[in-house]
Amino acid sequence: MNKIIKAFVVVFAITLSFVSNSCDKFDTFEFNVPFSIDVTVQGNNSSVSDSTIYCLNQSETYQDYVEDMRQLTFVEAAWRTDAVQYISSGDIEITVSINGGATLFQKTLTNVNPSSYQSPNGPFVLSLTDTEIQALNTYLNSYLENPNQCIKAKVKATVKSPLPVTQTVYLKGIIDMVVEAETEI
Amino acid sequence: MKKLLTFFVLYILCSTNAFSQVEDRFAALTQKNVELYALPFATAFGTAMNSGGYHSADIADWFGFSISFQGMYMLIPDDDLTFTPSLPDGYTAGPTATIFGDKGSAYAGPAGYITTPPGVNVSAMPMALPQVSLSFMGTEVMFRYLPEIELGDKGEKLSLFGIGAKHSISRYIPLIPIDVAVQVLYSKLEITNLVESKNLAFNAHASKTFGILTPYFGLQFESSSLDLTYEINGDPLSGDPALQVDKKVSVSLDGDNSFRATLGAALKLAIFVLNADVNLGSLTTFTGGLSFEF
Repeated sequence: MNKIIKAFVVVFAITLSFVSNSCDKFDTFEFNVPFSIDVTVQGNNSSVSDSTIYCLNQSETYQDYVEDMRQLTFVEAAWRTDAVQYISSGDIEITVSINGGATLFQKTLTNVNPSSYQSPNGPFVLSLTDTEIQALNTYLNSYLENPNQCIKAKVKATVKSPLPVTQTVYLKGIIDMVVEAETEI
Repeated sequence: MKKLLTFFVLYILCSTNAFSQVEDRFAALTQKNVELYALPFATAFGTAMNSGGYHSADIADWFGFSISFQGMYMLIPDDDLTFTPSLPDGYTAGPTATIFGDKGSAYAGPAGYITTPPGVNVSAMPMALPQVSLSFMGTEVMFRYLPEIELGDKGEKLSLFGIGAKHSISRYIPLIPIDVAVQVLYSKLEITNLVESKNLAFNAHASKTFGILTPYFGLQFESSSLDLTYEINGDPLSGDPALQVDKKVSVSLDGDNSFRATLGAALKLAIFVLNADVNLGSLTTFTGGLSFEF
């Protein structure tokens, strides 16, 4: 009888183990962390530029989970215009690089009206190449090890209309980014 | 037997690890989207709690006792792996993961990105429950119980209580060749300050014993509710105004499970019974059990 009992227990336990997804599914939690980098450019020339330094630990969501993060992966980035004056047409060049280091990606919106990406309109989603994504991912994961190495977002606006520039041109844009964080819970 | 009980307690804890993560997942969802995200779980969990109530319609004429462990395995249909969230004006919603789905999504819009959490990426959900039954004069009372178990470091406690009553109908019908019984089941699982699941089922079932083999069949009406309480972890930069400030949210969900048909068989070897059945309802569910009964 003992053998039968043991056999039942073993069969039942093995069956349950087989159908179970185990606890591993709940050991990690992968979620998206959005963050935004504001850049304002202004001046009296047809070409104006400026930059902002941004560190991921400025994100509240990042701060909440940073202790448990294992890996960061780039998901998507977009440009939107927050405010614009005296630029009805022009080029917007966006360069994101490691502060004091290599360029991670550079995109140019050519011959655009910046207000086209101002609320209530949707943003311009930046299409990154595989190489750019790989560079970003390498940076993001090095940031986990070295949180002092922040990124620099530079925006250069080239006015094409109206010309000549007689007023102070002003463009406040936001680079929105989303990274996926793999977190140990 | 003690080791087996330990195994099942651990197993239940493992299955409910999903609960310990729900706050993290729900914290990034509005009330409306939590309802859509968690609804498949309400259905699957309710289906599990309403499963495994019987493996025979034969009830002892005098006295009977049974202690059993029931394992349930719910198949999650593809439709329950994604949902389309409700987003503010200016955003275009596409599918994202429910609690059973895979990756969360990021939606670009005029106020920045709105993100949704991932699911646990499973196509089935297992569960196991212990239960004890006492029968007397054609009536059986069943209990499901777990003492309070502390989960994680936030002080949440898991508790489970269930009760069922079953009565033989065939004992009133002379010469009927099969056993017939009706049963009502109620169960409640709670994780303090987070989740409360209440489940009710009514079934009629029949069985016929051939030596050590007892095939059985049943029809069951059931309902399940899942109450969730969570706190939105407000982010002032979120693209969704509803997610910009901390806020406590309570949500009540009714599972889609309402009816099922069950077909199975039990194998009785002395005082041990091994049973397995398939349940066809809103979800396809497999149940297996090991009972010690006399």
